[in-house]
Amino acid sequence: MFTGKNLVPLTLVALIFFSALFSLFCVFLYMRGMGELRGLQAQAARVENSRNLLRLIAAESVEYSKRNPAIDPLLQSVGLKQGAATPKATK
Amino acid sequence: MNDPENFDAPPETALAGNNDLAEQYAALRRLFILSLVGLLILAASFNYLILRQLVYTRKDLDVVRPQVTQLVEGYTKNEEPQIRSFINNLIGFAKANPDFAPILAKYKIVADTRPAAAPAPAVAPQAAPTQAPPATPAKKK
Repeated sequence: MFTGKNLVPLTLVALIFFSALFSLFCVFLYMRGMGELRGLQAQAARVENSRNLLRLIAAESVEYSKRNPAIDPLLQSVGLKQGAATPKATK
Repeated sequence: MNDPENFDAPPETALAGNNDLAEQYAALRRLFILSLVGLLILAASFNYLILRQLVYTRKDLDVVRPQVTQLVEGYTKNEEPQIRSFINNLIGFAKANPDFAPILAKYKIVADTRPAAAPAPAVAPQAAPTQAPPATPAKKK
């Protein structure tokens, strides 16, 4: 069927076939890499969200301590306040 | 020649029909090969594109993976216990001082009901969770 100069289409079809296989493999690796990247970004975002929340709570607690100094020992224990009500940034 | 309509045709007409068929066959063959070449070029372009993306993703991963692993490990080992302890203290303080409770309620911080193994407050997800991110670092290949 594919003899002589008919080898040209056969070669082209084979090239396209292997090219498609290669594409499939690359797409698989790419999708896996992207999934891992998204997972890592989500982990980093969770940590950052947690820190932001703590910053907000700390700021409100320090603000609250102006009205009710009873919270001062608690804030001082984590370094949010030093002796004379000087708020310190959280980590 | 195999065409039933050409059975009774004179030899010259049959020859002309054969030549016409041969020309059409050759034209079709050229078209087919050209289409294959076009498809091959398209496939090669797509391969190149996806390969570039793959390389960039790999480079990003090589940079981000150690950073995030270090960040999460540092957070889990050092910061998270302190945060939990601080939040628990705040919850305890809010019980003794109800006027502080609205501040905790604002951030949806409630006493943790999890087993004693991991005593910590739970926070609603939309308010940025204080619960730890997964202790296990990113899955490595």
